[in-house]
Amino acid sequence: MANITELLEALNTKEASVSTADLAGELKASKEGTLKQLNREKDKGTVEGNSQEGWLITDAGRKALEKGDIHPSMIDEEVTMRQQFEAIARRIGIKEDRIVLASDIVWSGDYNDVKWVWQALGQADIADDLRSVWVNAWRAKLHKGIPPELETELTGVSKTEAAEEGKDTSKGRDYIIIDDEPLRVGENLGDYNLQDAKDILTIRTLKGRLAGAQAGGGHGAGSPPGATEKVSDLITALTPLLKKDSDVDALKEILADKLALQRQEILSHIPQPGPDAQPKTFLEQITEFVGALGGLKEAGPTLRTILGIPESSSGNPGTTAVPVQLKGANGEPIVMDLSKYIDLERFRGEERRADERHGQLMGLAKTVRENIPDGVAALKTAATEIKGGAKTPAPEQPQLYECGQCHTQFGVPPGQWEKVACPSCKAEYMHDEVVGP
Amino acid sequence: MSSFMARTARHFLVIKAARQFRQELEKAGLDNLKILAGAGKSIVGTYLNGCSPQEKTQYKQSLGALLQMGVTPDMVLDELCKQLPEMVPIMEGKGGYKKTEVGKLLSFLKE
Repeated sequence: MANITELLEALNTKEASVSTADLAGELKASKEGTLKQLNREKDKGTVEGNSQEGWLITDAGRKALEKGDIHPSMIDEEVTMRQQFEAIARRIGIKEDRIVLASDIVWSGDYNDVKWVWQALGQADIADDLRSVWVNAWRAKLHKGIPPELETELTGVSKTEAAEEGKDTSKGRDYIIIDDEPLRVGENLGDYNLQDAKDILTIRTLKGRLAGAQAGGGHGAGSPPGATEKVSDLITALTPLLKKDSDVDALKEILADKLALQRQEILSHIPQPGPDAQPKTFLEQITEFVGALGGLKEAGPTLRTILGIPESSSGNPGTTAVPVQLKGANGEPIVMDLSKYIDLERFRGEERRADERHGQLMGLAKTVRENIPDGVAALKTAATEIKGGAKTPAPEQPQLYECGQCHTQFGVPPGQWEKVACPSCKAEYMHDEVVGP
Repeated sequence: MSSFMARTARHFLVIKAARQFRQELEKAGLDNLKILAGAGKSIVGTYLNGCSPQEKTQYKQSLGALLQMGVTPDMVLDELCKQLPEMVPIMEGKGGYKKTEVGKLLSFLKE
């Protein structure tokens, strides 16, 4: 990529607009890089145009060129991390479009992480030989060492090849073990090579697990050297054999023997009633059985697997009469906080009461709304009152009388009358008989 | 002198207020209104007295807003007579009836 001065000088010599491709060809730079430069200069106001219409230098650009007042930015000088990363790829000979794709993938993560850069270049389908060169060069620029995981890939020498070539394992002791993790401290500055460190850690883990199982067996101090120690010694002794090129069948046989030995040793520590043992009462037998089950529970899954005891799926703690303390993810015992539950129930009750109260209020409001006065109704009522002068009384119901003979009800004629006859049986009644004196 | 926009807004507000009055009066029936006017009873007063407190508050707010916009009760009643010509003989039948109605509206606003 040409610098800004060269770019502006190239444009200054042109009287007509010039395309990006022509300009890039003249400057012997890539078209993409030249286009980026031109766009940046356009933002500064020193050039104008675009890829379709071509590019021209502006008056401001000419003045800046005459004054020599051009201060390239970090991007112009290709000193950003990404540009350096891409420059390495160009020097290797990777195509420009592949470089852009790979850089985009790398910059989507942490470009300082060599492992990520290796993975990202793999995702960009960069060939392994180019990838290792690219990552090694980038790693050197970052001043970072080879990650243990990429040792084979970046050094180009696999472990099997190293073993076949019979390399001295004492060489390359770059690792020490801290907190059960192999840590590279520099070339020949450590105690182990990577394989040794891993083997030692494996043996330590196995030893620790067996020691835990031995402790879970419930045997007290003062007992002879335990089976676990013997087994671990055996494993330690077998380690050189394992490292050598033993065939798979031999290794399997050794492992089977080791497990059989381990099982026998552990079973030997479980007291077996001899033929001359004192007969125990039923209660003592039950107590011992419960204790043994409790001990097995403490021994954990490893011992149960070795002894061939199936793991209880139900996990009912009541069978062994051992209380179970549940523990959370942080190892702290889980405590049931009833106060929160009580608060929750109280809150639910208050909510329910509030809902009921609201429902009753809404019903009351509805009733009130139905009975509130209305202006139109008031007008109608007032008009009715004025129309009638006063409230018209309801028409009086005629008084009815019952016949003493046929019990038929009948009315009396309006006004004055002396006699009235029953319409059914024609029985006559005098005025005084019906109305009274 | 108010702006053209203000005058236009006032005009439309008068029309809208009168339309609401008309709708309510039509519900009551013109015959009833004539009876009330003939008896010398205030239609506006009777109507407002019959309203619920909520309605009264709402009407007060609306009337107050109209007054602030420069829309007087007189203008609304005039527009009402235009929209409902049957109201003209009622309003002009008795001397001072319209003035009484306007006074009822204003006193309602001051309550």
